[in-house]
Amino acid sequence: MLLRLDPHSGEPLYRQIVEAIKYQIASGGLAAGEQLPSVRVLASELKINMRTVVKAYDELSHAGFIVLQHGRGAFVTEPQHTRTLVSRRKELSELARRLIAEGCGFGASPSEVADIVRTVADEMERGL
Amino acid sequence: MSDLCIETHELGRMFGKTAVLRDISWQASAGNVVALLGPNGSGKTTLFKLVRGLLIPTSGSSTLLGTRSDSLPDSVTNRVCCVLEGCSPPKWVTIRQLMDLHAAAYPQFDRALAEELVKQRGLPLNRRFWTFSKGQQRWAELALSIASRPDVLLLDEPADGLDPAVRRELYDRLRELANERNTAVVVASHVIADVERIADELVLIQHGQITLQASLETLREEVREIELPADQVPLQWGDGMRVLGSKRATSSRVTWVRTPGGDVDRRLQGCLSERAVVRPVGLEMLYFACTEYAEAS
Amino acid sequence: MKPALLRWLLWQTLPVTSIAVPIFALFVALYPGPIFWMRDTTLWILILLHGYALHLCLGRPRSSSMAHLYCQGFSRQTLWRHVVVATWLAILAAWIPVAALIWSPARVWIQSNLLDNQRFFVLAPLERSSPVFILIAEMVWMAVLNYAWVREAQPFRGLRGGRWLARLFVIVALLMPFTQWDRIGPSWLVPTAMACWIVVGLIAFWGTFRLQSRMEVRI
Repeated sequence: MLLRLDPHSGEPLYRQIVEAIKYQIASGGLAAGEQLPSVRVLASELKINMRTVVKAYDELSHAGFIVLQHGRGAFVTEPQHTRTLVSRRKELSELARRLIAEGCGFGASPSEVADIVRTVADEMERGL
Repeated sequence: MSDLCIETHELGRMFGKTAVLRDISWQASAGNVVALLGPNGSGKTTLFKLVRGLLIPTSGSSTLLGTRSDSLPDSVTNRVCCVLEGCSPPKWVTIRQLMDLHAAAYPQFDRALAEELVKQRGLPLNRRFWTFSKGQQRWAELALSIASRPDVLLLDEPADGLDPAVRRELYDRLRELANERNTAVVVASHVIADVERIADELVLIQHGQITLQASLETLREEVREIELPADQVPLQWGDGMRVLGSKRATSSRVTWVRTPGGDVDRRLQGCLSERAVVRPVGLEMLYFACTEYAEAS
Repeated sequence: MKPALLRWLLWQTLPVTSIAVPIFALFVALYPGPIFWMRDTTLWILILLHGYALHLCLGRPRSSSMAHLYCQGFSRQTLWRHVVVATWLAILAAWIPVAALIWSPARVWIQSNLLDNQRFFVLAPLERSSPVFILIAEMVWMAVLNYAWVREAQPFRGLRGGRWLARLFVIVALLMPFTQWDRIGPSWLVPTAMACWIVVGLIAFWGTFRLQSRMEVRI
């Protein structure tokens, strides 16, 4: 698993790990059932405190992306479709709104943001 | 994981009539890397010396590994390494002699590791110190401190004179010490980007006082840089929000705000107009916000 | 005792020792008259200089190499013990040739055969006790110097007291040979003065030991 953190960006490191692993799961880089590196190994690889890794794994397991098995490690879960269609649409709309608002902050138009989203989604589906 | 290695309580030190340090209450735990930042002359070196017992405090107290700093027995000192500016070994010494000294001082000293660290930078063990460049001397000193595998490691401007590759190696090794051996590492440095890479905690000292003390992850969560058009009226900040500093540019005004208590971005949105740009803040910018552009409190 | 630390400290004194040993030896070998510790200014100057040079090598709290040592993983007690032993060894290194020359027939032989100093063998027995006095003088002088150093490095009080003691020592040592006090005074004067001398040394030594744990390392 290849993770890259930017310690200078001002984003909390645990959140960078969470996002990176979520991205890997979404793009197929991490398959369901695959084992994540141990806390100690990931911390020494990324040169960060083990507590930060623990926090990231906790958050991921809380959100249902991975499952922590005591004494064995962290594993990627099966994609869950537990959310109802309605709640999923609602959450996605909220995400989209935030993304577009951020994009507008850089001076992009909403349709430009939508185009980028489509391109990135295509790339991810093709496994790039 | 949170056993205290260094603990100071209202520590202060005067030199003549000047208070170099005042009311320093600070703790450092095992396994953490602490970045000690502050402008020149803010008292960082004095703090190290007080903690290591090289100076006696005028007020307050300091403990190192559970023992008062002014009466440290061998069983404490042989677990503490301290590399200070101006306390360099004599120039006639060879690295091998320095190794013998470390082996005598530190029971945990790992000679094989020391030799590896020194040799991999091309430093022969039998040459005298004065034949090395300043950076090489520094590295030899640091490498031996790392190989001494202490429980507490105090480094004052360690990167001084080191090239980028050695600096990277140094900080990677420090992180490794903290992770693998649970060492409490305290680094005073002006090269902020280096310490930002590995540090867990920030202690900012200004004019002999601690002005900011928090974990870096917390600061990354809580501090934002807000850019507003210059003509915008001053903002009404929400509860608990603290302006760290601000700076006026030609067409805009940048403000750095700390918002404790989570959900920062949504709470900031409530205080800001549409035209505000909110950005996360790296350590370097945070340092400037708290020093150069600090809000007079 | 940690041999590595002792070696390190002796290395630090090596330049002084390597100069002092031949100078002391030559002085003792070539000096024509009997060496009386209380009547000889040159001898005193040598002792004072040797002690001061050793003090510079081993006892400057403001030198970066001593500060480096105080940053290492030794307690104050351990460091101090080693500094004291290193000082004694450095003194012995210069003293042993002196004592050997005086107590063996070497000096008499050099004086009578090489320097043609015919009357010397008559006077030689007079200087039999000199090595003991030289050793005591050096020890006391080092104790006083170390006391001055440690006293000066104390955090908040009485900084100059030790320095005055050291100055007094120098003045007494240099004036004494001119007074001929050991000939003029009553017979108990010399032993009493010796006893006082040793007491001053012991007090300085004890005071240094008490004060060194709170000594500050400033550069």
